[in-house]
Amino acid sequence: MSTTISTPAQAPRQRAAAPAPSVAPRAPGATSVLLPGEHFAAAMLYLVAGAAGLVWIAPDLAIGAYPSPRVAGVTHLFTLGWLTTTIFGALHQLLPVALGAPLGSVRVGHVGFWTFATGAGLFAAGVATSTPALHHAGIALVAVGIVLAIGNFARALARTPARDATWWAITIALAFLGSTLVLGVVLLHNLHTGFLAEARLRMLGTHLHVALVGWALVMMVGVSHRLLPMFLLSHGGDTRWTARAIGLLGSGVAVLAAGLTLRVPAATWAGVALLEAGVGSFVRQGWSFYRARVRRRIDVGMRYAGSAIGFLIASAILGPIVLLRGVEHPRLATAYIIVGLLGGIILYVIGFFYKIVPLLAWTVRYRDRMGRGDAPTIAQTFSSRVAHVQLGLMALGVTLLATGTLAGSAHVTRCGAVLFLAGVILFLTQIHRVVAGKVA
Amino acid sequence: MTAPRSVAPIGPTDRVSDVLARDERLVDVFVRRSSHFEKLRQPALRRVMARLVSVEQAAQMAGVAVDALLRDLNDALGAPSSTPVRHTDDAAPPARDTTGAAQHSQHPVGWPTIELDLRDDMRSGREPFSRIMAAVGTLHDDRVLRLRTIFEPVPLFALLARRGFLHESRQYAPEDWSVWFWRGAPAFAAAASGRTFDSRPDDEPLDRETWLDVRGLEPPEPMVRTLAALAKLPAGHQLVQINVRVPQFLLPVLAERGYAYEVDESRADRVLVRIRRIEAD
Repeated sequence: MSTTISTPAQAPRQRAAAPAPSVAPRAPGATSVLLPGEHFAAAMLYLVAGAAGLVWIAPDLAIGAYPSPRVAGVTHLFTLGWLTTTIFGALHQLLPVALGAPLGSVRVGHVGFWTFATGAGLFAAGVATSTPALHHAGIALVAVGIVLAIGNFARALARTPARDATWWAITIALAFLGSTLVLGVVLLHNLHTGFLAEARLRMLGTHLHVALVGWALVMMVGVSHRLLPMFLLSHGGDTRWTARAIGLLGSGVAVLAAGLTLRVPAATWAGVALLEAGVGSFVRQGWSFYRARVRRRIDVGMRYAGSAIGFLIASAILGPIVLLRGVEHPRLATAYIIVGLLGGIILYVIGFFYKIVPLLAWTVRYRDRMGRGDAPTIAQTFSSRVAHVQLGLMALGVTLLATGTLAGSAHVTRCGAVLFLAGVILFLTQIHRVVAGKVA
Repeated sequence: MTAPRSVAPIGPTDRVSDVLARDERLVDVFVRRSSHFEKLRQPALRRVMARLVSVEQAAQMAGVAVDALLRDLNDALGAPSSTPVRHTDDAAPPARDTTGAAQHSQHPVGWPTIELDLRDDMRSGREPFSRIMAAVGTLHDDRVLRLRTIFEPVPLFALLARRGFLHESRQYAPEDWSVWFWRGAPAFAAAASGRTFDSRPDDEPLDRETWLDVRGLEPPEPMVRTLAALAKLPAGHQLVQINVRVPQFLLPVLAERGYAYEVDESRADRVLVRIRRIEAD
């Protein structure tokens, strides 16, 4: 808690109209939008590529071939290309603005982006087409990009004045990102040597949960702690559930990973129990924010988040069943991943994209006109109706993808993939409209 | 427009939204009585206005006789007329009473003022009541709340009068009303006793300050409204933005536009940003 004062450097003189402050000037924290902007642009391209890839791999999904190279390649278009790139972009804005932590280096941020974004594409293409040269080059670039990003964010986090739940979530999630990379390299090495033998699927399960829960979901929980109340206009919600969710999810992933890797069923089930409690705490936190909102109308971005929480609950129900039934039911495991990744995580991130990207674009475009009465509203920069249609298409797409996979129907699965792709294309048109500044 | 014989009559205390829910076409009856009611044809405005205002209050806002309006509505609905109310002369609508409990009241000039511009919210159909009550909650003695609205918020007058607030309302243009609320006797007593602003606690406004409460607004509205308020700020005054977080996007814009600011995070439940123009020698 502090009182700070700031004046522009070029100001001739500041009038001391208030008691002289005793604290150092607060530096305006926001970085240029170029860095998050380039991340978001690349992420959009990868989302489109991933959605198109879904149509391509629909028959593989319908037979539950989640460990196949094609499915793994397309999955990485979503996880590395869309999800991680978006999170990196958002962190470049969130750390300075929300946590008051200036980035370690903007230049490193740009270098990290080009390295990572290029590597993600090469890696996904290399895995999907089983081309060693591509995935070797890709993983090298991805690894360099991740190390640069983690280092840059870590420097910012170390300088953060207040370490709240969001700070801890970001820190824990970055640690899990590093672990995901290590596990990924191990799995890639196994592609050539087969040294993991029958442990491959367990290692794949560990990699998947460390990535999706440890990295993505923990990050979502931490960021939502700050952004959900802001976007929902929700004040006074019980925020203690955030810390519980972060602790349970973080420890749950670690225990689950240990159980799967060491083949200790008790530890595996303990990990599952912790994860279930963690998801429950996150859902409870979200419910608390939605319930305490001042404005009763829920906008489209927050509808995405709400729908995604629904898919997350479905995924949390499927998880223990997958573990109980074992690897002899690959279609169930595939459906579990579809619901959790596409429904629970990607829809959630799209909801936040709808809140953050128009705000950033509007702020840049109308900076000089703000408060002077002639700027459009943010709501006019995209179509809420189209966004709702998109949500319907994507949610129905995920549902059909999952049910088609469970039923072993390539036709239904492909229909779901096409609907999902149609939703993503609408999303692309919406974001293009926002960036181009076309006002309704 | 026909209805069964047993249909209940519309009364003066019925909400306009309830009346329109009975028959959508009654909006034409309102409009025939006064063009003021054209607002009811706009879905966004109807959402805000019709739910908050009774028929009697609507008649008062439009300057029409409530009995005549009720008679028209009940006739259109095929219902018997309701119990007559005070004003029975069609040709002579009641005089506008635009001040609060004290007929001679005018809002105190020079008192610290909290501005709440609700016009955009009302036009877009967003419910303004929660923001108003949040601002009222911060309104201690010697402060004035100024609401900017697109119609006279008549239902608020009685509601806030019960809490000891006086009011004054003025219309500047067809959809531009200013309504001031301030505490009654205690505030006057404080003023009469010669109490000075220096005796206030730290979190209360100083003289020549305008307070702008942006809590309950989604980004970028707090920034937009703050910059708009600054553009109209009298020379030598400072604007105090009341927020729930440090407005990080606003701070660099303030610096660019030649304003100095102070951020006060001394309380967990709100952040105050004191802003003033930098004046050259």
